[in-house]
Amino acid sequence: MSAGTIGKLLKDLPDEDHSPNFQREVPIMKKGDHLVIVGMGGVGGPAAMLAKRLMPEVDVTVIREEERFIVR
Amino acid sequence: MVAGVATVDSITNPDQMFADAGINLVIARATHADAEEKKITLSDGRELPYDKLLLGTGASPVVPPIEGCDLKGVFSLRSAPDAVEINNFLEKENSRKLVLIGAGFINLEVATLLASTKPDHYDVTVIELLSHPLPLMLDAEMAVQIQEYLVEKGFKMKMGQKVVKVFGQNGKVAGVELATGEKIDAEMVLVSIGVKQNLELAKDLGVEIGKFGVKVNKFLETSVPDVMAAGDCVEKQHFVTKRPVTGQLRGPAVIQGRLAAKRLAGYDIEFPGVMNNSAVKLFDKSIASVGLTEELAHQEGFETISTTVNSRSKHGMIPGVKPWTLKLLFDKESQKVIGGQIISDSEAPVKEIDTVNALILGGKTIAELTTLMCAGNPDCSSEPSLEPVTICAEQALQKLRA
Repeated sequence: MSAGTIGKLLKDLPDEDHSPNFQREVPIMKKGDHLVIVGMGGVGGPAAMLAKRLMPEVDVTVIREEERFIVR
Repeated sequence: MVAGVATVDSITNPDQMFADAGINLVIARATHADAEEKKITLSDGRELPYDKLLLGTGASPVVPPIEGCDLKGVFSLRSAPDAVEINNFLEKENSRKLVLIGAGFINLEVATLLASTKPDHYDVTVIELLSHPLPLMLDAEMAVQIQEYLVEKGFKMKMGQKVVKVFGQNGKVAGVELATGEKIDAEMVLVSIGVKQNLELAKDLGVEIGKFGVKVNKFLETSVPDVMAAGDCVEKQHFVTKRPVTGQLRGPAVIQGRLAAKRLAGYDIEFPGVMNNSAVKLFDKSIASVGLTEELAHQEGFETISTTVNSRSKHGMIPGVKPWTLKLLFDKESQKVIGGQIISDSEAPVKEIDTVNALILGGKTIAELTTLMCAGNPDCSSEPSLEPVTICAEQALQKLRA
């Protein structure tokens, strides 16, 4: 019996999805739309840089409270 | 930065990077958010309209409700200014007696860096409520190796102990008192026992909030249209258990931030959940962990099989070879790998935790792991016959038969 076949006979890990099911259309931002990002820790900086690269026509603003900010 | 080995400039991105990319950077506090009018109000009175909003408001250190935590010389560490403030305090006061409340990776990394930069200067005591250090990363039998190592380095490790009071003299910290009545002198106290989500703006917006933060779907969209959230402020789902967790680490925050950008650009990619991938270096020991610890797996109702294998960083005949240990954890019912822990005397092997991470994501079983083939080279890896993932799996296979 192959490993794959054995795997199919086993009880699997939990698969019940507990994440909220907020139904949304896939958003498409248009030229001149404003994307505002609050916070510049792990999320804000990378999100802003990639958003601008993927959507150069969108106006991207990041709001940061700290003079400089870093988290681990 | 706390230990003075890095400057703020060396570890923060220059703001010019954002200007060069055409990104508007506003340095102000966002004081209010209005979902109906779709605008953010700033501390200087300005209002910023948005079509789409991404909340990455993060989290703040939890200060325990212990008397004396407001004394001068009691710190928590989250941001660069915190680190500068602690470093300035240590230099100015020439503090020697350090008490660290909490034995997670932040406190232990700070303590070991301080001790490394000024050998024999500091008298370090680490106090942890749980039974062993790094309780979210390691099981007890792995963590005890780290505890003994830190004791060898001169640290006093008080595990399973509760601080009931921080006491002072002339408004400045002088020590802490444990539930046992023991008093420990301290000239500086660092508190790191966890963080709480920053949810003020989320509450303004009226987004749904769960036990561990803002609720988001797999695309990081909140319950309010055109508002997304990511990072420490959101509740995440554990990849293995599928239960809500905090998942407050930099890795998920960066990945979620980039995923939110992709979603806004029209990509249809789901966030898979978190596995608490983490790594820390304490003196010459490198430690990493992914997925569930055995203790947590049991709390979550898993019946487990675990195996631990000692390997080495290079082939045995190569100068500079160092030992490392891998523990793998399997779910007995599905036989899938659900967790891994590494303690290594050199830095390179610790990144093998990413292999374990990929194996968990791929849902690989004990049997499948027995045929894992890894890249090998005398200078870069153990001999193929000592490759610990496959050996762990083979030992697990034998335990299944026993």
